[in-house]
Amino acid sequence: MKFISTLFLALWVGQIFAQLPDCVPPKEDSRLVYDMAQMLQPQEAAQLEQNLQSFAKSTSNQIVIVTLTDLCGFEPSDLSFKIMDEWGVGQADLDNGVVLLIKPKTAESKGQIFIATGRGLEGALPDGKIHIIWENEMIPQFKQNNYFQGILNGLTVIEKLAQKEYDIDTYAKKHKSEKDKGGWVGLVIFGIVGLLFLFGKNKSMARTNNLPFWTAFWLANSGPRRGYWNDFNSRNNGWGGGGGFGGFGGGSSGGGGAGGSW
Amino acid sequence: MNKATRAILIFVGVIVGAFVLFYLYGTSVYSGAVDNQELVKKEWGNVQVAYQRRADLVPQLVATVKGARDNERAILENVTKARSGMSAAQNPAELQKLGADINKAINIVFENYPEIRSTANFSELQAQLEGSENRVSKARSDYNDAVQKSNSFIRGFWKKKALALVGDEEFKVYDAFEATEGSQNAPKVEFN
Repeated sequence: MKFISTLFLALWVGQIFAQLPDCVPPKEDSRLVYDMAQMLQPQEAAQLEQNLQSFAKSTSNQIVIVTLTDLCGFEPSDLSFKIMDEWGVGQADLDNGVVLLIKPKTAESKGQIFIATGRGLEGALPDGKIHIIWENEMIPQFKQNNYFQGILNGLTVIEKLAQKEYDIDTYAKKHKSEKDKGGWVGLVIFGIVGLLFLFGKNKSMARTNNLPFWTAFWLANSGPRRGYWNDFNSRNNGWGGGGGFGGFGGGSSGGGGAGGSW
Repeated sequence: MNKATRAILIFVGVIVGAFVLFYLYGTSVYSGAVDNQELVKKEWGNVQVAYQRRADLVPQLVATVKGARDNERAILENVTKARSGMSAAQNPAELQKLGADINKAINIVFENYPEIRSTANFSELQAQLEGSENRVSKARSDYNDAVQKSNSFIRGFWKKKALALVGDEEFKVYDAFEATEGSQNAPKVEFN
């Protein structure tokens, strides 16, 4: 039993440790603005955070802002896609996430920007439109060091367009059936855990070995999706019925978006 | 029951038990392998879509150029041929060859119609070209990830034994995209 459980654990751990380069901060479950390059004043960052949180809550579209002084050798586009995939920005079944990655201009290097759109938003925000947004709304402000205004201007347009594609109604409609399913999965899991607990009472020796095994077993079999935890999160949201922003939903990127430098 | 029979019974029991456990393990390995295989297929579909998207840009490019007539037909025919070949492509090498044809066509458009750069929506076109290239490379790397996961899964020592025991389906070792000469390079479209 132990041999098998070790095998499953190894499989599971191998999948959890996905690869994001060191320069990207770890994600936090209720945070959408990661101003690592300190381009914004704290209250400006807080205002953007507020804006994005309420947008996520009211439309289910998740927009993340990440500023970094160093892209650790990656193209801005590739890094944005990685962030979207590994964090799971957007809802899993809608793929309606946006990652806004900015590297500030320094004396030695150009400023770089990339706006990555999840698969589900490629229709509302095609690359050509994204290009126009950053070129006309954001870069002119960035050039005058008005980073906050530039980001806000860009966001306003992006949110307006994204909202047309997915608002809370489409999200709710899509999740009506999902909700029941989520309940079932939860029930079964609780059932199994409960049974194991009963077992464990009789055979307390086996408990310590059994529980990790079944947990690992369940995790290893829960499908080929990239982020189990995110899936689980979105299911939790479905349970509550609210669909508020309580973590990333497990969306992924298809390589959409546009960006440039200034 | 004397000692010898008991020893034999325990011995047989352990073997049968081990076999049953291994069989149970095998069934979960089998479904894992199936999941991996389906993931590879899905990502392969995405790669094809990304390439086709790139192919679809060519007619759009041509249409942008007012008065483009002479080479137009030849370019579009080549692209249409390449595009229709994509859904039939079975492995990365085939797809890369078709992708190279499309890149060639894009280059020809830019070489033959330099005035394309002065068209009104050129910056949008440029963003679309870049975007389609991004999608191709994203899809390719996702495909490679899926292939790697699937390949290393089915080639593990115990998993291989378990699969031979449980399933009758052959799990294929897939080819990944590799950097080959020329075909991997993005088309060099000169904008200036």
